[in-house]
Amino acid sequence: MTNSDSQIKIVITGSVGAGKTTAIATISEVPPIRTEVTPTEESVIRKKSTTTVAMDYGELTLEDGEKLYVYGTPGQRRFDFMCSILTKGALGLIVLIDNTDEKPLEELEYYLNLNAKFLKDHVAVIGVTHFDRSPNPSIDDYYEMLEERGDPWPVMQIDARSAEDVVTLLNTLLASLEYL
Amino acid sequence: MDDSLPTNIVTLKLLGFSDAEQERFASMLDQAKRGLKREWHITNKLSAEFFLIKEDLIPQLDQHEVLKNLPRQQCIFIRRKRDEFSGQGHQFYWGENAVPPLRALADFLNGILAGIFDPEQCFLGRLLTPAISARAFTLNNQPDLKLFINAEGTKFYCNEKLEQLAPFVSAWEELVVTELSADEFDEVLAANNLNPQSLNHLLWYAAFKGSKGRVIKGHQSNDLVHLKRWPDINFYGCKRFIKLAAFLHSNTVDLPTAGFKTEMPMEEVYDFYNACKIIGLIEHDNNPKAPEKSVDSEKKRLLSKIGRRLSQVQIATQ
Repeated sequence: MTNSDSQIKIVITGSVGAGKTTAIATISEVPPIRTEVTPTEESVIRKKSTTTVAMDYGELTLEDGEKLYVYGTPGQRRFDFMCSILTKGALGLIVLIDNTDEKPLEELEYYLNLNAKFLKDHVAVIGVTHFDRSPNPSIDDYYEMLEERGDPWPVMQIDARSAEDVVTLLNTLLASLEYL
Repeated sequence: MDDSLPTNIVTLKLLGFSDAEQERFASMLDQAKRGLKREWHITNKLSAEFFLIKEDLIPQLDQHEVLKNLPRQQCIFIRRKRDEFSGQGHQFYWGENAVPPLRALADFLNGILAGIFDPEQCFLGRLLTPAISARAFTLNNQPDLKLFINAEGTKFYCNEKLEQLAPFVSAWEELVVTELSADEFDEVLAANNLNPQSLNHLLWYAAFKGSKGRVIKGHQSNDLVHLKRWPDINFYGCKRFIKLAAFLHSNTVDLPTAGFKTEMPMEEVYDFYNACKIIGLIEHDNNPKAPEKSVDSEKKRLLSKIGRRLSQVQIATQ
């Protein structure tokens, strides 16, 4: 791995159990590096038996040999400081939200606020997971919330296990970057 | 369209005609009025729904500042001879000194309008009609195909996939709409175990499938438009339009410019635009404050490179 600040990279953040690790594993051409351990935060223990601590990491080799690195941030809030470290030099941010969470809209708000400095001059795309198990809030509800905040980010429902969905999410980020 | 004109009037701008020729054409149009399905109005304003272009201007099509940006579907070229013509657009044959039969002119103009997407003249029109009660939609020729809309007009209920509702999209005479009382509606939902979905999904689908590459009624070639917010990317067919959505979300431009910059055929631009317009995502702004954003070529190269790699990922997993 080279110095992460100068890499071509995209960061995936978001709530615990939203599928950050899975999304990276879905598209990475190498077995993703995982830093999963037994969680210690009460809210996380209820949802998962293991969770990411430092970061997840996957990569794709581009046509000239350069690499695109995809990083996943830890879900436990005591590791929130990793967000600002990982987003340094990143092209953009993907926020994954688990729609079965008790308060998914508040979760989204939390991650947008956490990355507010980065998002001043970068773009984000929101992926909503587990929509099949919980259709509420709807995608329109997410857009209404973003509109109230004055955030222009696209939102879509995705299945983190589906390469098509994860590629669509990344393509949306690329298109947003192109016309930023 | 001129703000002062009723919406059922079609505006036409004449390009390359002398004053005398304009008067002559206006008089013919007036005489053909009885055979026309809609009223046509010659406008002097810069924008119009159609442009009547004299044959002399055809050689300048690609260079002329105004002509090169006109969407060809909205251009009517006056031709003297029925010889080869490589350009797109409508062609009306009118000999040097001859007067075309008024019936031919009326038929021609009526035929062109068949190329306009008029949401009021299809299933969409019925969906958008305000109602005070819940409604059931069925088709005479396919009575098993049913969908229901709540009284608020916000949800539709159906157990079929959207694609299976395609027969509704082009239906008109065979469409049967029945009003339901609140009790009847509750009974239907309970009996059929129907799932609610946002009506915007159906409106999007009906507009996207129904427009068939045609410009929506009332849209003018140089209207400057902007996407207020992204559509739901999971809407039917929307994934193909991510670039166009990003471009229209960041810029206020006319549709030919959007098509050119994102390398999308105009027919597809219209399908996407019409669907966005129907669900209220389009904003018109003929005096945009911000100029069109330029794209850094180095950044574009990097993003294209990543995009190509992602395409490979998708192909490899299919």
